[in-house]
Amino acid sequence: MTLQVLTVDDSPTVREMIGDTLSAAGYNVLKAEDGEQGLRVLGSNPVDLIITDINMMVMGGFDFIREVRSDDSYDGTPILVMTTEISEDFKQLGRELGATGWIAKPFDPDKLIKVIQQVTH
Amino acid sequence: MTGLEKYKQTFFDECEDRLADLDAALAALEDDTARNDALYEAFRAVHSIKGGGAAFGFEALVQFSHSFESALDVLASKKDKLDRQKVGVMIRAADLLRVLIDAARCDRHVDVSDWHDVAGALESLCGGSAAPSPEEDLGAPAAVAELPDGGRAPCVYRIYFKPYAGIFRRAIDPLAIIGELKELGDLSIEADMADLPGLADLDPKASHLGWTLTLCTVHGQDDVAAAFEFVEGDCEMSIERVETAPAVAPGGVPDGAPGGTADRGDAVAGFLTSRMASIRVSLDRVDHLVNMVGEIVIAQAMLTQKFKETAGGSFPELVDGLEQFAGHTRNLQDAVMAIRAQPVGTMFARMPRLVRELCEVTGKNVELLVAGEATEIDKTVIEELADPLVHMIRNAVDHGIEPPDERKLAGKPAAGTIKLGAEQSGSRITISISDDGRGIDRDAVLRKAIGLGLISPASELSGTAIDNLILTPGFSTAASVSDVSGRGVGMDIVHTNVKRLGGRMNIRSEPGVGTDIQLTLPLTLAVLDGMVVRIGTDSYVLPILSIVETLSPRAVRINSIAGSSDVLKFRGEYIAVVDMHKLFGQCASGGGEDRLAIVTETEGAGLLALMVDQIIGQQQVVIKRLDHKLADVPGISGATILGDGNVALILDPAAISDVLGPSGTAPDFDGPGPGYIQEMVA
Repeated sequence: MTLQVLTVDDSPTVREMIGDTLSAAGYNVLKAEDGEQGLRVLGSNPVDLIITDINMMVMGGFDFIREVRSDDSYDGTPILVMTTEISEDFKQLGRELGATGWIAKPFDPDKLIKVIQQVTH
Repeated sequence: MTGLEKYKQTFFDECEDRLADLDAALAALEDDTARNDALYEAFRAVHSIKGGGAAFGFEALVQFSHSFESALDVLASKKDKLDRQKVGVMIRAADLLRVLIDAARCDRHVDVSDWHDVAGALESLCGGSAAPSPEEDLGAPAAVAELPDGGRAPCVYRIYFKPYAGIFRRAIDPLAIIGELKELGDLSIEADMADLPGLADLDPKASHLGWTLTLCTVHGQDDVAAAFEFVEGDCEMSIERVETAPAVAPGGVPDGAPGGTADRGDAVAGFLTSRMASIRVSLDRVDHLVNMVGEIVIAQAMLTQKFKETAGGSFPELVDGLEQFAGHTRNLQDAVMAIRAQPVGTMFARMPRLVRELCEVTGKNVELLVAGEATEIDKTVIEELADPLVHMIRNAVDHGIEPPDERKLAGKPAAGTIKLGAEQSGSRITISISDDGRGIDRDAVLRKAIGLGLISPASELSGTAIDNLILTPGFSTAASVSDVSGRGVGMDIVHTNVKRLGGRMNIRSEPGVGTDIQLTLPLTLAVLDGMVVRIGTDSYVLPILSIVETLSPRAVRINSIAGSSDVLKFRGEYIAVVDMHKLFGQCASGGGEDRLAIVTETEGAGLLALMVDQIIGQQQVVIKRLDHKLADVPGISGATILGDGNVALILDPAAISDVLGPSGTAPDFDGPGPGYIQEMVA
């Protein structure tokens, strides 16, 4: 079964790169520019995995994660955070909000696929 | 069995193999050219036992294996010759290792102080430095943690992992983490269910379980920890390196190329491949399979026969199909039997050491030459044969080979030679033990046999017949055997064991030149190529391999000799004739005029002609053992179910010739005859 991935990032380049990487690996990719748009996509599409940026203008990544986790219907859906800085504080906040894992930006395509496989096992 | 217990069994099975490797390696130590290979093999065996033992926390075993391997390591680094004393210490150390493994298996404590001489000797071999103090950290990397090919040796990690209850909210699946660890190597898992609440209190959205994982991997601790990257801080977790683990597959040849370019990926692949090369299956399962295949063989034979009898002519395609089916069934049976087959080398490997020890005790000088170790035979046969073989080797050294000065006087080289060999021919294998010693003392054997009443003083026996007297049941049960200076100690018991396995034993000895003992054994205990014959109203099966020729009624000229059995002339020689009718009490007057003579070969007793009424056909039969109450019927080795569903007894020509006795006269059977048994079995 083809897994559907939602990528939320305000940079078109990053969205494109993630999109190409995942399509090449056989995933179906949905894209959103910010948290709010992400929630709208989620409202009308089944999604198996979410990859989100943190710093976005309209709704930031942490708020987005909080919103998604407040909805029971996404209980089992892994959320990967993709960001330039992964500090302990950041991880701590991510864990508390319900993020599944994190990937450093710029990302290594192989590593991205590996992590996705790991969390969607 | 649960959790680790299951793996313990595997570990102990593996220990047996490693101990056998160790024995073989130590036996090879004295050969100077192979010295370092042998030390390496020994090291690997001990090292592997240590690694496994550590995973289960067998501390005494781990500590001693560590001293042992240190000593082996030191010896390998020195280039000086290994003398007998050093090899002796190694052998004692192997003994202690075995004791410690047994103790770990039975959860027993061994008082190592009983073995302080071994520990001390190991320490002095190491120059007193390499043996560890008991407090030494066993986790310290051993000197040879590097594989010869430059890859990394696998390590065992013990991991405890218990996610916090809320882990599922983050969509983290502990199973995915365990799956990831599994990709790193060999993983065994035990669940900790201590916090699992009752069903009423169970929160399905919370995580309640913990796991203890034992991982054997060539990856480093960082790689192992990486699997827990996302759960860190959301779980209780510990990773502890237990010990360096076995690196090379059993029997694998060490790749001696130092500084090889193999990267870690290759090492992992190699490790995984070596793990895949064999699997351990419980013998019960194999035997179940063997039995089921046996039933299929019978059903197939029955189906084919019934079909040919009823409608074969009208459906040629079906006949073809059934023949194909028969071929496949046969292949299936061979394949299943091959699962149980093991090389005799596992049994032979114990012998060099035995010979060495016997030489030390007796002061004799004996060289053991071994051939045909790769010959395979049924596992049960190997197990049953190991002790008799030890016995025969012991006899050969003890009684066969003369002391060096006596040999010199006889113009022989001071060192005696014992040859131990195995060879397959058809569906049987022959194991031979021959020595160039003094041969069997026939006078003593004769005296003893007469004394025991086994033969009459008036008997005139050939030399070979006298030699074979020592196989007669009861020969060695007399209290004193010391008057027999040749062989004879317990040989009859060995013979009984061999016969029980469907085998034969034959002795040829020449005074002053040596003794040659041959054991002929079936490759498998389960199937037999048989000739189905009719005797009176019943069917019997004769092993095809024992049949030399079948003579038509016209060709049979039977001569009666007063006081002995009938004989017939076959290829210029007179051979004994057994009237099967009479033997099995079918009818007093014997059969009709148009009977056939089947000439059979018996090891030891030459040719024998069996008179039967009719040959029904050739068939592969599945041997069913007779109930122990019926097991001792002379001339019968078992029973089988024929294609038509009837029971047939399997004849044993050699046993029939035993029944005739040395004088060639067939006595009447006492007790129930085969006809009666046939009814009982049916």
